[in-house]
Amino acid sequence: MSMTTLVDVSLSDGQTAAWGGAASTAMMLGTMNALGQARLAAIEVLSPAVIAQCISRDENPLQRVAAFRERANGTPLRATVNLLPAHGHLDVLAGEALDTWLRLLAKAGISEVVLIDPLLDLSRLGNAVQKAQANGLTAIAALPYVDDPEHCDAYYSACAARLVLTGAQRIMLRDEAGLLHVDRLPGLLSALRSGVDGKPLDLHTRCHTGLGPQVALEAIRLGIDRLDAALPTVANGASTPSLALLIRSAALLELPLQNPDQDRIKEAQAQLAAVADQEGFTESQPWAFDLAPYEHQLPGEIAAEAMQALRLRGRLADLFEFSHECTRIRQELGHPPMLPPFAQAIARQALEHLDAAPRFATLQPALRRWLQGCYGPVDTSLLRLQQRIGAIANPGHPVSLPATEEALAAIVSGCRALPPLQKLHYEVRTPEQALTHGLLQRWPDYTVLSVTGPGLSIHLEHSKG
Amino acid sequence: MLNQLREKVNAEFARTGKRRRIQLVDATLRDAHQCLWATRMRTEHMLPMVERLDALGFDVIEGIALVQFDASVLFLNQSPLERLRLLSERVRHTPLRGVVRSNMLRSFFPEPDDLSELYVERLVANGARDIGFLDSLHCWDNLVPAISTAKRLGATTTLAMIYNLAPGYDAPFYAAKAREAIERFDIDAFTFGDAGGSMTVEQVRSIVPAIKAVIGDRPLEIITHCLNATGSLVALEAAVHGADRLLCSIDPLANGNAGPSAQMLARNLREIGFEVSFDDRAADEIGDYLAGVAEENGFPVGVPAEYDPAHFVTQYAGGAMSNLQSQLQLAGIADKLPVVLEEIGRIRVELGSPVMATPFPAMIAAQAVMNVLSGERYKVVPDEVKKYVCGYFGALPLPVDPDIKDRVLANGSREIAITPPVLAPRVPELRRRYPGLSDDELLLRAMYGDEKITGLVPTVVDDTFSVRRPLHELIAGLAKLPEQRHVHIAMAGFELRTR
Repeated sequence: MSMTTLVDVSLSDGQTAAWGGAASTAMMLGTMNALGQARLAAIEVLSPAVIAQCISRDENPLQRVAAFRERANGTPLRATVNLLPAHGHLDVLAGEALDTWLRLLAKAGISEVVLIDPLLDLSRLGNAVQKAQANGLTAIAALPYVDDPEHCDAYYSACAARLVLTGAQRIMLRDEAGLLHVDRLPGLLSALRSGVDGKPLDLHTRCHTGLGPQVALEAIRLGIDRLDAALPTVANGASTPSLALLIRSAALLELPLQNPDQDRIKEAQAQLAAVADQEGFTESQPWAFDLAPYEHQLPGEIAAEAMQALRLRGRLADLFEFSHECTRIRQELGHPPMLPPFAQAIARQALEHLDAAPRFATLQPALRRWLQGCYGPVDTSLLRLQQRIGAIANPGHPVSLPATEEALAAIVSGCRALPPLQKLHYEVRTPEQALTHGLLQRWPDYTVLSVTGPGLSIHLEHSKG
Repeated sequence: MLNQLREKVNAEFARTGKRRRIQLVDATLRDAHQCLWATRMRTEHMLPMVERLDALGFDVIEGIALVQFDASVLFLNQSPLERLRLLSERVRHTPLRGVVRSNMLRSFFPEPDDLSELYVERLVANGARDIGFLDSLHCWDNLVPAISTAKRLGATTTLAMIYNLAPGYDAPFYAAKAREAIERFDIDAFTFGDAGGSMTVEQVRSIVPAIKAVIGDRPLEIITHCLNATGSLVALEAAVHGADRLLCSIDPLANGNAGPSAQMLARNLREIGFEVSFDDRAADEIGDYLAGVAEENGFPVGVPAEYDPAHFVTQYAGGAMSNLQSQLQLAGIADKLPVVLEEIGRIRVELGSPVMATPFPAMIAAQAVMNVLSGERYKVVPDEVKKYVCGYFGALPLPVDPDIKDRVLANGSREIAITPPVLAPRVPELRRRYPGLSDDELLLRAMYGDEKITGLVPTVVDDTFSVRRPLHELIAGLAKLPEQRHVHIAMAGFELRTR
């Protein structure tokens, strides 16, 4: 049996799920230095969420890739590309815009792309695969996992077979809402194996129910080719299973896992934990088991945001009411997939309804575009709402795109112009440096500042003059 | 998964024509703080919330067990029987449970029958209406005096069987043990418990129906712990497969080393089609109170655990884990925890795979710590380990490794006879020694000695449902004052200046 290899997603999905994507490029350089030496199968460094976070911080996402490539020590760098962007500048990423973006990714240092089409439009995916390969990238076709009676093993087997026909080099089962469980896995993976016809099969799962690590270990036992995982500080919860846990447990259970360099993994974890400590980022915690994710099926950080929103409202007891509202909205809309660009919009819409606003008094932009047919014909029961928002003349008509590579990259990234390159510098402070820094920050507001501790006495007092 | 569970519950509904009601049993006052706070919840912490707890809809509230007796007397200087009485005065609707640990009282030494009987009498006299019985070897002979006394006094009898990941501990074993208990004692209800968080869904699916087939309409209660991320799912699966009651506690005193959250179980059980009588929002209010008590006292709240297959090796109980961590920390060897846990797994197998429930986790942990610290395995042998090997606690589940048995017998205390002695009654002698003392005090003095019991401090009864943090509130209030830079507050023993 072949060995399972690990892909690190700490710098993309991990920090997005755990920290809302607050880790800047500079903060991640030390971690990347260690990860690059860890003999991982790949390191994921870019995703649509990471791009949006970079733009919001005025960081250039391609600079992030280039900076990480310098530290990757030859480890393949991976990016995920969603063919239906969530930022609203484009409805569908295809044609020249996609080609340009893939070319820029390859130029910056990406060697693998996970191509996600939430609607599983095979023609669109096939074109994307061809463009990726034409730009020298390994194309990984994503197969989103949905937990409902309609999506049986035979469905997944057939989908996998069709994805192979697109020419993708690898197929990835993406369980973005952490819904897989060990009862389901053997039959499902067996069905997928029969569909992929010898192509490598990868798994990306999350830990919303706390069962993600168990699923990942079972997947290794069943011979999955690659698994996504994250450093412990940003693993579990809405993120992926922990690298450290998988390595330790696979050894204990004698599972066929090709181990990365554990010292480097520990070093990367220490670097990331130090950044978390310095920046006040909370270490990711596992979530308690709950069946609600099977009802709302919200992916990764979107589920984390929704849980936080319910907590802030003091309405965790209404978790199922919220989840049922998500389901109801999806049914009324005609079943948009629970992935970006639709998942966050559905969650926000459900929260509005939970807050006792009249249903659909307002409508999230992505759902409006869905109802207007921008992603294809819809079979909705919300006919009055559809009438209210009006139609778009040519929903399938491509938007006019700028001619230059830079402007195209900006559009794909969801902004007018890509931010300029910055000087990247980050220093993890010692406790003494952090204390001094904190005192000096507070100093102008106080007349006297005094700190004492074992072997330590600092006294600051403004001079009388 | 949600759909499959719903389908199973709906199929049962279609078959029987009625929705089954799942009862919740509260462990907040007993197992939850044993697992998370090293059993340090004080009576004063309990009283303000207990009437609300009584009104939530629980079918049983666990009040006290011997671990709480020990912690209450030895660490908190409080009378456990006073606690039970104060609780029972406030828990007027829900049966309050007291738990019996085999034929033991303080420590792990078997006591004579008359003392076991007195213990049960005092639990009932102080308000326990449901008596739980635990013998981790499943040696029911050890429980005869306690069960007979509870039956005589009209208490509900609930007998625990403990899950064990070891050969021979399968569905037929537990079914046979349940049948034996019904035939011998006409036990009212059964508990099937997983102390180490190592029971899997597959095992629940076979063991729970097997026990239910034997016990019929008698309630079957399930105890799980969440050390391994799957405890809550296992509890839900147990309900789907026939269990009637689930032990749980109020979040945030749930998860991690403790059991599932009551709030989570209530909403999930309803969601898959069961009837549950539980006031979720009132439970959240108690949860806020518990979070306040935790913050005020520097206690941790329950943090959900990461799934870790290592638990299938150690099977270490939640409460024992919390105590072990605390003890290693006190001894300055907290860093040895991984080595000690590995040693626990090894010793357990060598000693014949006893169930990892009280008192055996503590006993094996003591041996593990000594093996790690002394550098030579079984060079130092705790008395309890030698007694266990010699059969003082009852018939052993599986034989002890012969080499290990030789080492234990050779290095254990010579004062421990290889053949267990017959235990003479103690109560007559105690009554002669303490004429005129109440039976409560007599029992406590027998268990803990005069010095500890004389030093117990009566509980200051205050039922106010709030966590008072006056200093915290004062400083938070001052921080909200705009532009108020100079404040000086002085009172006896306290002075505060801001500038």
